[in-house]
Amino acid sequence: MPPTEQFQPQHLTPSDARALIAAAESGAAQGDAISARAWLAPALSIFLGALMGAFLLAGVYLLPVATAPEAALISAGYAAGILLVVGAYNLGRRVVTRGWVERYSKGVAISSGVFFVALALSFLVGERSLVLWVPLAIAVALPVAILGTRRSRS
Amino acid sequence: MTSHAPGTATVPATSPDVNAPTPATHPRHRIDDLLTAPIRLSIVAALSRADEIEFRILRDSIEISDSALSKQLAALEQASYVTVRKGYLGKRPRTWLSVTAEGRGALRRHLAALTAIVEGEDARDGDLDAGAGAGATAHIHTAASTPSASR
Repeated sequence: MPPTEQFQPQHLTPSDARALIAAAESGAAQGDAISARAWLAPALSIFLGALMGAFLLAGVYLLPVATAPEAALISAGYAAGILLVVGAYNLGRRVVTRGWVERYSKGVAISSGVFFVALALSFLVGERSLVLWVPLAIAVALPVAILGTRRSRS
Repeated sequence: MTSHAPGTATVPATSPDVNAPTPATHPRHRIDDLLTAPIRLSIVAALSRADEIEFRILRDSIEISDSALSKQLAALEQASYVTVRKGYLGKRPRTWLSVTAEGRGALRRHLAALTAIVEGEDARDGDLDAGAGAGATAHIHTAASTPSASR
């Protein structure tokens, strides 16, 4: 615990300045330690990426042959998955690491862009080989998973 | 004849006003009064390493009581260095803390001033080692308490 007494600015000695710098370094180290223990946001990012990739594969392989109720069930499962992870994040988060919201938003935007391009491609080409679609699903998942798990360099 | 706006005066560049106050250049003038309390400095430094930290996590991390942290946060919030956001998780109240851009700037300037004070002393120690003369390590607080002594 840092000392609680306040130094007088007009009478600040170099040794007081050293003590204050040490207090700041200690506080910053605590902040870093708190951020390092934050696991929920990276987990959310990975899960969301996997969910988006899986939904692309469902859109390519399952939805075209599914009946209307089945398609509705698949879409509902996807929506429920998103609500679940976002809800769990909002309930469980204790720390928002520095710059995470910005990186995560960028990741979601890029992943969504790749997702919609790939989905459009699925209507344009008849190819349904796993060799094409699994890498595309991974390409959908990676931006949000990578950007959401990266730590800021500070 | 040149007209001047009321309250302004032209001083020729060749004749500096000897009565003008000396600009404050010593790093102690850049010290932030609010951050001279180590506990407040620790709080701002910790918050500066994240976008948002929950009250309880910060309290446990810097090992102070609820009331002590609340008191320091009130002072920091009043200076607009910290934002306190309250919310509920079900029926449980939650408090989120974050440092503002103003707080980050104040921390940066404060640390730079502290570093300059320490480095200033180190430089004077170096002069002394080189035989620059006794008394060169005059206490900073002495100079600080008599700012007009040099004039």
